Amino acid sequence: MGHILRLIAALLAAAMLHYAADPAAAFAAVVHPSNATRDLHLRDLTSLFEGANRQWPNRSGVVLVERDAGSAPFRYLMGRLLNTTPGEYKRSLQNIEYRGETPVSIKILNSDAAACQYVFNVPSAIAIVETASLALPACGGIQVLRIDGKLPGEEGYRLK
Amino acid sequence: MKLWFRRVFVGAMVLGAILGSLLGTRGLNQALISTRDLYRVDTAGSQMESDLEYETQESRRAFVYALAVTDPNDQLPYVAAARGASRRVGETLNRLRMLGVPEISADVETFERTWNKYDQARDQIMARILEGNSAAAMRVEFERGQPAFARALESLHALKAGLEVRGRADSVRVNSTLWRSIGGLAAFVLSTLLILGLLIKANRSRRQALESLHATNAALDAAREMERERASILELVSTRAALSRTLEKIVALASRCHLEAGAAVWTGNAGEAHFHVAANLPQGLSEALKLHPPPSSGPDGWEEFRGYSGKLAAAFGFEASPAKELREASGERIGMLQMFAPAGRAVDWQATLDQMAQLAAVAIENSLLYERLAFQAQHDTLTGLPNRLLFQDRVQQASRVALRHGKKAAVIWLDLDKYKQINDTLGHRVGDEVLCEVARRLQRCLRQSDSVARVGGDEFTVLAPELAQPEDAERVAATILSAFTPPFQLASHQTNLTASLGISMFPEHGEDPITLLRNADLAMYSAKRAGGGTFRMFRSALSDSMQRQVLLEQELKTALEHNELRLEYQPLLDRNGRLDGVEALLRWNNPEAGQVSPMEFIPIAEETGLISSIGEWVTQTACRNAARWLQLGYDVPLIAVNVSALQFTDGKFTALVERILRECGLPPSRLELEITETALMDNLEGVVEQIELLRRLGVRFAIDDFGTGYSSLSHLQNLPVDIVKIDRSFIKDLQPGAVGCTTLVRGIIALAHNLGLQVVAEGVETAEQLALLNTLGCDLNQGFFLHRPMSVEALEELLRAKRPRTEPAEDLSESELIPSASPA
Repeated sequence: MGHILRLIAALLAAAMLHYAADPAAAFAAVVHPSNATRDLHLRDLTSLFEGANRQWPNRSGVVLVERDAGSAPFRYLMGRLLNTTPGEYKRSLQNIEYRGETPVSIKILNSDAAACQYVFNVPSAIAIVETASLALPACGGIQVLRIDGKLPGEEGYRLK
Repeated sequence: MKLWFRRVFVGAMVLGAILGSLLGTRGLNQALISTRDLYRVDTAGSQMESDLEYETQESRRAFVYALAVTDPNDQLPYVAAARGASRRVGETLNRLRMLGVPEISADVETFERTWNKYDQARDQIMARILEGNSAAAMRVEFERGQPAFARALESLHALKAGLEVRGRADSVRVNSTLWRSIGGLAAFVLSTLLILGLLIKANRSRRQALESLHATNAALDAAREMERERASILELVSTRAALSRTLEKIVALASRCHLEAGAAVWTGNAGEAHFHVAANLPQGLSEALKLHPPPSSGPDGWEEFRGYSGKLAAAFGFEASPAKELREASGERIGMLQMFAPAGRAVDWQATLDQMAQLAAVAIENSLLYERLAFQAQHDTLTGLPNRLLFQDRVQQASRVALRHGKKAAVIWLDLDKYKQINDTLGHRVGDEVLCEVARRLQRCLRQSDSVARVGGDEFTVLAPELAQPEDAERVAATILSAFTPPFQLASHQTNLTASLGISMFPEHGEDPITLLRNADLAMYSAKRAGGGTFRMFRSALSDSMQRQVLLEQELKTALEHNELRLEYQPLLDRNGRLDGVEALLRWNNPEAGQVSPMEFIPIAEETGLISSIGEWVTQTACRNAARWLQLGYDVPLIAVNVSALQFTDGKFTALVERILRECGLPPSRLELEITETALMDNLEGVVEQIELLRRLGVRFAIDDFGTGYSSLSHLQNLPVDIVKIDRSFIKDLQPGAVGCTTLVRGIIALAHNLGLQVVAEGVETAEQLALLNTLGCDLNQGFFLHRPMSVEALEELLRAKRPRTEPAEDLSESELIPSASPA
């Protein structure tokens, strides 16, 4: 009995650790190289992922690329950037569609490489990936956006 | 083929090969380049085509699959596949561009351009699909994708067509360059083959030349080896090595020149030849050759023998060379040489045979020469008997044997009686015949164990070994004497000859050969003095007198050379005491024998033949002195010189006297020759003629010692003399009252005067004798009472004192002298 309780406690601890954002990790917002946008304010980024702003300045529709639930970028998106939960986020997006507005296009990809590759192939896509994944080959041909004028690694960069 | 032509030909071939190889290589290189280009272009075209087809399929598959799934995670692999195909197309285009084929560069650019448009369209399609907008994707596909793809396909076909054109051009170029290269290579191969042929031929020639050179070197080596062998053989010959050893070395040359060949040598002339040595022959053949009797002495002897040896060799599976006769320089056959080799071998005999034969002939001839020299050194060349040297050696050996066996040995000295007369009267040839006949008779009458030797002119010695007593030696001597009993038949003459023998016994009369010979010689003198034709055993009592005799004989031989002879002169005075002549008297003063009387040495001189040379010296000296006196202006009296009858025997005395008179420049009328009555009467016939000749020249002759011989007074009128010298034995007893002697002398004087002869009395020693002789009418007197014999100087003094002359030889007319011999 004692053993079972110790096992349950360990699983809960692991789950807590899994869903908690790594306080040391940093994240980057990446877009297609053809995208004219080079710099975003953090609130604009938040606005894009909240579905408030669904078009790029060239009037092409924004495709949000998100990582699968449980991944660090998704937890960062939910916990730090949007400050919401996956369920709440899903309901807010459904509300937009219920309102008859242009639905938010969201693509869930199961790795940073896939996210990068997707952004590479879709000019209107934007994704948040870990800055560590920028070194992957799949992330070679895409553009990293400045957030509030800062690139990842620079002092005052805020996506972390 | 001439050398220059060959060089030009080879040069042309080399040039052709170089050009051919260059052309061939260049053509081949061009063909390879063209082939490579063709391959590259074809490959690139094929690759392009397959890439395009693959991309089409990929694109289509990505399009369908992307449409079929909604999850972008599932769509992305298809998108990546499409992009990969597109990237490979781009890489292929780059490779195609890098080929540098100008003919297709425009097609490549066109295709790239159309392909890029299709690529952009596909990106848009894929983006729509990924966005999840399938309718938009299909729309773009229809509107842009498919047209772009069709254009890309068209441009691809154009590119392929360009590649095919280029490929055909490359094929043509490859073909032409291939043909050129084949031509060049053919030329190269042909030239190379020709050069190779020439090289092979040159190599063969070089090999043949080398083989020839090796053969020449081998021949030279063999010749040098042969020369060394020749030198060593000639050294053996010169060092007088044993003939067998030398011949063994010579016949061994056969196997040196021809490995399996052998040779054999026979030495000697046909009839006497015998197998000497063989080398490298089967034992049986060698033995068979050795056992065969020598070839007959006939002219075909050697030929028959060659035939026999050839058959013998054939029986042993051998073949015989032509036999080579060995001859010495005089042409005399001295042997035969033959080579043998296993039958069937082609052996060139001649050169080897000639060389071996030459060496063998030299070796045998040299050996024969040494044998002859050795024989001559120990033998008398005339009779073939051993000489003194060998005889002494045999005496030495016999004395040792006798000593060992307690026996005796006899040495017999034999001297022919009156041999000189035979020699002088009948000539040396007859004399030699006599000696040879004596040698034969001695050899016949003696035992096998006895030895005969010739030790001097007519002197022989006999060694009779192993005798029991001296009487045995006397029997041997008697046997020898009996061998002289039969008359000697000499050419046209027949004569009886006797010998005087002296015997000395070992060991009684001497223990060494020299003593034994000397004592035998002395004993022989004793026999000679006994009248010859007998033998005497040596006795010690004989020794002194005989030894003096031998000494005088030996010393007399050198008396002239040693100036031991001199002349004294005894004057002859007429009844008035005036010097009318002088008699030259011979004196001999020997360091060992002292003053020797002419009575003692003249017989020896006559017996040994020395009288001729001594007589010549006396005549010459006397005439020279007389001529000198004439030159000095003295009134030179008649010079009387004694002559031995033996001087007349060789028939040359007349010429000798004539020559001496001419050389000395003495008128013949001043010379008087005296010959004893005995000598004159013994050889009356031979002497008279020569006396007549000399008398015609003006030389006067006197009979010396008249009255002692056996001549008849009746002969006196026939003797060609001018003077009669009455022997001193008559004068010695002449004195007043000695009627018989006085009557005899008176008779001789009267007889001589009646015959017109002058009379000289010898041995006048008293005044009474002189007075009586003057009374009896003797013309000239000679004797101690008047003058003793005096030296030349004393006589000259006498001549000067008695008849000095103021004008030298003024009364000598040219007609008195014998004219000089004409140069002719």
